[in-house]
Amino acid sequence: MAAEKAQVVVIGGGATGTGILRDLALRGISAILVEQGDLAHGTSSRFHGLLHSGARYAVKDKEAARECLEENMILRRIAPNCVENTGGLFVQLPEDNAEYADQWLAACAESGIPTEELDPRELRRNTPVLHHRVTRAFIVPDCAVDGFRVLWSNVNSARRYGARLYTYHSLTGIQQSNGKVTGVELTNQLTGERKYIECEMIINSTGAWGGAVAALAGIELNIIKDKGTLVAYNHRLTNQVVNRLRPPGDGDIFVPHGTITIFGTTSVTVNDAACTKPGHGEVLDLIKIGQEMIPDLENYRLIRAFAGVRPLYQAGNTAGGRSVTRNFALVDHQERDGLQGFISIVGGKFTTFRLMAEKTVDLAAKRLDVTAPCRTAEESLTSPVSEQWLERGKRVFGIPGAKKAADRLGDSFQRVVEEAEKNPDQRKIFCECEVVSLAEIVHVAGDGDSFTLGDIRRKTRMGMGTCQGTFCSYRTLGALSGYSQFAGNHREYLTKFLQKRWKGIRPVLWGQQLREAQLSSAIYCSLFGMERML
Amino acid sequence: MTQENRLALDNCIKCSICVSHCPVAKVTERFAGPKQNGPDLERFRLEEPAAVHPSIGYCSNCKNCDVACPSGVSISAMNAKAKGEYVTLHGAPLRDKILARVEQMGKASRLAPSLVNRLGRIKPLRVLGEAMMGVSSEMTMPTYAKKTFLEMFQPKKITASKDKVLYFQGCYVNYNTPEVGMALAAVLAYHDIELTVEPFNCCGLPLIANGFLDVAREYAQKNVSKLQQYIEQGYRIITTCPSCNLTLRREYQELFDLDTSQFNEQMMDAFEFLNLLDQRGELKVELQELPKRVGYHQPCHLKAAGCGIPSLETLRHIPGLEVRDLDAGCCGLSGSYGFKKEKYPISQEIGQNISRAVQELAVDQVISECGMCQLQVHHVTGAKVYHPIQLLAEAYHLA
Ligand SMILES: Cc1cc2nc3c(=O)[nH]c(=O)nc-3n(C[C@H](O)[C@H](O)[C@H](O)COP(=O)(O)OP(=O)(O)OC[C@H]3O[C@@H](n4cnc5c(N)ncnc54)[C@H](O)[C@@H]3O)c2cc1C
Ligand code: SF4
Ligand code: SF4
Repeated sequence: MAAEKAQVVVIGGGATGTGILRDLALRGISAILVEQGDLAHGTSSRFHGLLHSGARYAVKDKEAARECLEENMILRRIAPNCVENTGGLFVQLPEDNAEYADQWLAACAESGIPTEELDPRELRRNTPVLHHRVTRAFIVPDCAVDGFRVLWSNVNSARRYGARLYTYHSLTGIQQSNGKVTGVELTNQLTGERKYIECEMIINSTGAWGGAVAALAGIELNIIKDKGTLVAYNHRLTNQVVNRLRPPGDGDIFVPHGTITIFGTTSVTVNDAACTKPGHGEVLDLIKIGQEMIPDLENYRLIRAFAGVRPLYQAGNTAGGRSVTRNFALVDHQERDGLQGFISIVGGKFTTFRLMAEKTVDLAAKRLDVTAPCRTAEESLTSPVSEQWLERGKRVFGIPGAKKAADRLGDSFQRVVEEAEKNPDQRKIFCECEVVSLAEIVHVAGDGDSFTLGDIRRKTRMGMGTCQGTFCSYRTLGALSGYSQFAGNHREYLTKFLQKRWKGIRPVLWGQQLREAQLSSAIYCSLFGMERML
Repeated sequence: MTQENRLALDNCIKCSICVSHCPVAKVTERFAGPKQNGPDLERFRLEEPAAVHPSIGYCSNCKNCDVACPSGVSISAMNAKAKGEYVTLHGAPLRDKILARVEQMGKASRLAPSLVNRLGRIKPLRVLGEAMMGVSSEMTMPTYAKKTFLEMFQPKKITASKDKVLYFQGCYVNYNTPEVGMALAAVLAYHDIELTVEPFNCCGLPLIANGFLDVAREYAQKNVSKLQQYIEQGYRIITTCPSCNLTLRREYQELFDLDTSQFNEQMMDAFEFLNLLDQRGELKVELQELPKRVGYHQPCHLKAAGCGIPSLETLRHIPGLEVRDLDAGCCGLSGSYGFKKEKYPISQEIGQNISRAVQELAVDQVISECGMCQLQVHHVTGAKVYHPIQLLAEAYHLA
């Protein structure tokens, strides 16, 4: 069988890799993206979801701050349904260094980040959960960003220009001859099958896995893996992003995301890129710090904890953690290691993924003798759902259901609404916590890229709400038995799905979430014959 | 959102017990149920207040969900607020605006109550009303009394009154069943207790149930300031309508953030008050024998008040009387709800439990505290239905 061919194979389906895929495709370079799990298997779904205004980095790193601001503005413009324009606050408490506020204000001004001071009394009125002791507060253009949606929008946009995607395929070998990359060996993670692709170039955008992938080419790449833990609260505590106005540290950001609030984070150096287990102790530490800003924090219900690993690039071999630059590094292995057709892009932030992709593809294009310029900042990533379709959607899914589905589905919203209009049974809400209809679940199950219940969860948010999948997972499975990927052993699908949910619940097992878990284990142990849950 | 509401929202563990106890969700697919309309969508409303399910109008405000919830979530209050949000956004039909204004309807009927009653019985007119206004032509209309309770009641000065008691009579007693208020007045006078009355505003429940929270809030504020004055003078406040009672004691606080902690202690159902007298040994227990069997229907709002069934305690003193609890759940009418064309079938379906129970127990008389329940129980069974205080007055030879 003739091997499949592409000019470039991009490894890593995170923000960076999908951004690169889109950029390549828009410049007319044939490209394939390879991801070992589902899209966003890595850090790009295990992050805070803050589309930085740059204000957080202004004092320490003006270049990073300016990049953030610029990219923030671009993403709002090209992908409005992926960005929730919440605005952000920086608040200072009496124990924080008062001079820092002035230093920060000056730095923001220098980086062009607009700030507006808010009267603490007004703050108390609008955001009563915040501590009444707040001394100064400023508004900045922070936003919340949905990582998963950005990634799929990148891929869908790239596909329109002929790009290809292989999820659940891991890069297991790099073929080279005469100092030149010639192809890749992939292993299907679901079936174990091997697959070979001929290519002229490999772009390594595997984030925290970057070192391991470079090693497949016999190259050493030093990446510090910095684990950060985050917690998700059951409801929106604030309607704006809230940052603590002091030098960046642990537990100083709250980000409202749809129905929930994400709070974090911590910073611990780890050895393994897959080390995403959140710890109970870390959660307790976070709450303790967070209470300085939101005094009632320990009384609000946590639905889960999760952790991601920051890929921090270091040319040499010194300090780790927060003091390392958040800027990214583009490594041209032709120049550095003498291997032609191999590029690594490391570090950076979610916010700056597009810029990272642009710089990477600029280099790739030069090497491939392509002169087409980058167009990713101009061309819209998604087209917003029209008012007319939103209205039709509201009639079948209700107001919250339709709005959320429109944001999630983007261009496919129309098809899902039509299906629900034709077939009233499909209007049933399967995930009640996040208001996800059967029509949406069925649509996603049949999109060709969904292999597990987890894939459906990420695309729809089914199972991401208060009950964490207790009720929607078996309902969903029951409705999907007609799809070959869900026609096997139901108990196994459920177990896999729920284990992932429980991994996040375990560190926050107290109060109402403990009652929830009791209910859940009672249901699965007694009705589904499972042996134990936790 | 207040701190308490945030915590109550967080308490929901999605067990769906509220759904299985919701009489409406049991009989229709059109209602998304208490959980979805309440704590589920409340999370969305923190971001987008308009996130209300269009089926919210199907909530009858019976509050069985609140009673059933093992987590203490104030579901019906969330639903009531959501309904208010929905009405603010989408408006409400003229019919609802009229049905909600029980106080104004009562006042208007004063011009010619018997004419209003007669019109309410003319079928072709009712059919027209259904077609034009959406008011079910099937449902029995409440009849307006010739004279209101406030017109009939003659205050009597009792010099050595043992208690200072103010009666919140409510619209239904005032305009439709003044005999209930009169029976209470007679029973209290018989115990040398002076009864004080006041022209209060409607408690606001029909407005709340139809989503007109702003008007209801105005009523609430006026009522609270009047009641406050009485409380300060050492009055107890008693009610014969469980819905007025619940609204004053709980809804004002939950929906309008009014501080009603002061009168929670001092406000009670008339029978709770009589039972207090009983405990103090002041209730007269020489009662006439009433050798009959009556059914008893517990109004949902009495259940929600969490004070048991105080009337049955008192009625136990009546020799020969056999009271059989229908134990049939919600009657289905829920105030103006069952008068609405699209909800009438639902309310009748729910009411089936009542007619079955009445048949099984073979009773032809039923007592119940709530005026609207009385109407519905009569409508679905044809039985004679009245307030337990009337039975007590009868046993005291006061009727
Ligand atoms: C706790 C935390 C909070 C953060 N918060 C923010 C924030 O609020 N705002 C912000 O802008 N940034 C934030 N960041 C940083 C940001 O999340 C990351 O910089 C960004 O997501 C990295 O994206 P990436 O595509 O480079 O890597 P990843 O998303 O990790 O993508 C790499 C992908 O490569 C895949 N892969 C690895 N090896 C192979 C292989 N052999 N074959 C195939 N595929 C492979 C992995 O499965 C993975 O999906 C945060 C980071 C952390 C850890
Ligand atoms: S108040 Fe009654 S009708 Fe409304 S949701 Fe609760 S139980 Fe159902
Ligand atoms: S509101 Fe109460 S009864 Fe209803 S699902 Fe939540 S916890 Fe259960």
